[in-house]
Amino acid sequence: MDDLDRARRGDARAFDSLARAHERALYSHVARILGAGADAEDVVQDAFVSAWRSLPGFEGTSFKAWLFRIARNRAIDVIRAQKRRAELPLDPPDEEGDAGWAEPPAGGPELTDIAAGHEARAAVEAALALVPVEQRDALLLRDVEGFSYEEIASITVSEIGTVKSRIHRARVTVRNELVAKGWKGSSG
Amino acid sequence: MSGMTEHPDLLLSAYLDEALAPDETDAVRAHLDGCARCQDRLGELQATSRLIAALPQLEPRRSLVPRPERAPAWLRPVRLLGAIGSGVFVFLFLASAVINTGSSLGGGTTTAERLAEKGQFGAAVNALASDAAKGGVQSTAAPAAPAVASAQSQNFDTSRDVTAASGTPVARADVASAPAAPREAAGPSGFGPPPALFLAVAALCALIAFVAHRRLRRV
Repeated sequence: MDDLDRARRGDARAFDSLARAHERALYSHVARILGAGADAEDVVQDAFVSAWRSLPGFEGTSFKAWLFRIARNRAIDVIRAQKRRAELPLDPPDEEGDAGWAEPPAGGPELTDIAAGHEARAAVEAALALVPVEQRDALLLRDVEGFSYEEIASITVSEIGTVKSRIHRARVTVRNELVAKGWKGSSG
Repeated sequence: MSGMTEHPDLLLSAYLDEALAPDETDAVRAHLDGCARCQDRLGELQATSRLIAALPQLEPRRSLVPRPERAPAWLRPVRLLGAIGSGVFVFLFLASAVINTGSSLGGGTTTAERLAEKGQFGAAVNALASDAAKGGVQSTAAPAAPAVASAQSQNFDTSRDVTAASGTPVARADVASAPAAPREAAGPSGFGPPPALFLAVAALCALIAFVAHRRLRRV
């Protein structure tokens, strides 16, 4: 019997072990949606409490995907509440067609040559922050957490086509932001 | 789609992630073979994806994993016993209800019986016929009633035959009153504690199991 089975039967220690294995990944994801800080921490903690209470009814196969779904939905609810207070839409409506492909400047390092140094990380984080929330959510679930498109569709309660579109548009936006900061695309 | 002439920009990310259908994958691959622009874009999307994947995990300022209160060791068996007890007492409730219903049907005193006990056999026959007719009308509500009436009629016929043979009122009274004696001994309310008591204990057990379960799940 693994930790998941034991936790499902009410073993608090097994649940603790499972939760700790996903704590940082979950917090990182939520923090990149909500912004790092108390809101993200509260959302993750609430997600764990909710998961512990709902665990006996969990019948899926991927505990990680289930946990991300709970946390991600709570994070989106928090953003919706914030936007509702400010009377703003969650995201601009998904548009048909390709996201614009910005032309790179002549100078600067090539995207394909960027090492994952501190400067590059800060630039990527800043670029990600400019991506609409639901696109960013899908992109992070794919590139950081490695979920399949089907799993992302399940986590975000979306169609596969929507997932494909969101991931692509988010990547193009990040690429364009990096190019705008002086990184040179390989086509430049 | 193998003759793709337009640039498949929207499919490049899904191609990169191997999330396209086989025919779409073949078409994009064929296009990429002859299109330097799309090769460049695919390379940049891949580089962007790698940069995002290389982002470090963020560290919360505190532990976010709730600590479930450590429940006492006896709580788990209490939950189990409560659940089992609840089931057992529900069963006892149903069983006693069924048995008491049967006892009540067999032990009730009808008008015909009372008349027969008094020796008024003609009136008893009329009363039986009347009971039987009511039983027929109410058969959906009490399907056992005609059968009971029939059984009582048979008892009455037997007593009449015996009466005719003996010819004495004393004998008639003895025979007529004989079946009533054991019923009175059994009592009209059946045996054992009332079914409602079993139901109450079942509810109590279920409550104990529920409270123990909630306590075990508390964080």
